[in-house]
Amino acid sequence: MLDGFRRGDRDALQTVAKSYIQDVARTIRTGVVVVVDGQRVRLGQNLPEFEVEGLVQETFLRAFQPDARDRYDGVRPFGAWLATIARNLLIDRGRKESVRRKQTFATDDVEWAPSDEESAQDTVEARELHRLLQEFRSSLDEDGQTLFRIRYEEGISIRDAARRLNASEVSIRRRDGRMRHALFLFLKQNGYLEHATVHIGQSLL
Amino acid sequence: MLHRHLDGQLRGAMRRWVVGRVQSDATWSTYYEAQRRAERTAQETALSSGQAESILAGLFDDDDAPSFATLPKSSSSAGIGKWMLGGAGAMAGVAAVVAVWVAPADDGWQARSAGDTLGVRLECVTTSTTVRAKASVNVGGGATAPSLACASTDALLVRATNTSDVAHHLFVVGVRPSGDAVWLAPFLDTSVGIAPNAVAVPMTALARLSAVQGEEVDVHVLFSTTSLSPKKVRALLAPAEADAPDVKRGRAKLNVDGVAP
Repeated sequence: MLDGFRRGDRDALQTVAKSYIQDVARTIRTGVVVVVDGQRVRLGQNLPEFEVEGLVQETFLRAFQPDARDRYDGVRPFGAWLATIARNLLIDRGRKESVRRKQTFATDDVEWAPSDEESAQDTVEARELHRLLQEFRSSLDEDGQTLFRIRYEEGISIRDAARRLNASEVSIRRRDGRMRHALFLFLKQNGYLEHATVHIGQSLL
Repeated sequence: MLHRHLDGQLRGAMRRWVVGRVQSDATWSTYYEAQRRAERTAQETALSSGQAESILAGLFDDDDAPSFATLPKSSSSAGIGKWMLGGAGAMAGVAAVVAVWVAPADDGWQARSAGDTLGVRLECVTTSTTVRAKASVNVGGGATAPSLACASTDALLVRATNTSDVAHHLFVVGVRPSGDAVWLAPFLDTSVGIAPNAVAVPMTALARLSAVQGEEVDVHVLFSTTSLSPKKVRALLAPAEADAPDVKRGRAKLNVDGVAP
């Protein structure tokens, strides 16, 4: 596997990406704590989903560059190596954002700090969303609950869901669309999106 | 179309078009945000399956997916690329080199044996391609701590050597005159493993020296056959723990923007 990775074999790189994609996303969502002017600042908290997706993709793009592949020694844990790249990306973007906002994110004052603390805000928000999802699911009829479980909880694709439910893809897609719209309205009615919208376009800092 | 993207089914130009439209529209952005958060919360994962599919498609399946043999530098990497190990500028800009050799025996300060070496090489790396010669010191073991003079605009690169027949963990930490610790390598939460017969293996991340401008930092190089956590390293810096039996150590003086040794 390591040889394939170093050669840049597509299959090896795909295997690596599939194996570590969740770990990289988790690292980015955890963020990184830096010390600016004596104050601890967490970069990467509450990033919009698009931003997280972009950072995950960029992490693998960097890790898969030929010179990066050569640098990996095969000794240190690969996940930790990827995590370093992901954290560097967060710091890089934090610096750029601070320049854009003309904030005093002085790189001279930055020190690295461990970033394994859990964000209390993230935990509370996830718990709240989880509760709302359960509430929404309970409000659905039996077929709706089955579709919710398959699509949201198990993450099964439309194609596979259609096969499993013995229905056409078109009909599953329509039901899925209606369910997503209903969930969107439900979240809005329950005030979740009023909170969530503040994250749209929010900076890293 | 958006629902097909949520499903991770769109590829290439179509996927990018949908992403662009969604990102430029506040309502669709909110909708997308809600769907993705709901998916991953329900799946209890960091990324939903649809997100993972979409990212993997961008990496491997799109009509313009990068060829990793000839991947160009990403525009967003410009700010940090010069600090990443292996960047052309970084490697050409080695300004000063010092070697810190750690004795293989547990006493840590005795001379190393000829064929069994643990050590690191510390390199001050400039941000430009200009080579700015400063100092080069090689020490063959013993109690003398070598000195290294760097500029605050430099970064510190650590290369590890382990010619023993067992893997070792490495942590390099600096102690400022104030007594505060500065984590130099690795830029991770735990020590890195150095395989047997490894020579001058570079650590991935470089430590910026701007944070210790004008200071003389006492560099501690810690090798251990067991993993080193930051907590353990902090304890090792305390005098009472200095003779931990499974730890081999070396030291160096790092002058940043100070008087050259």
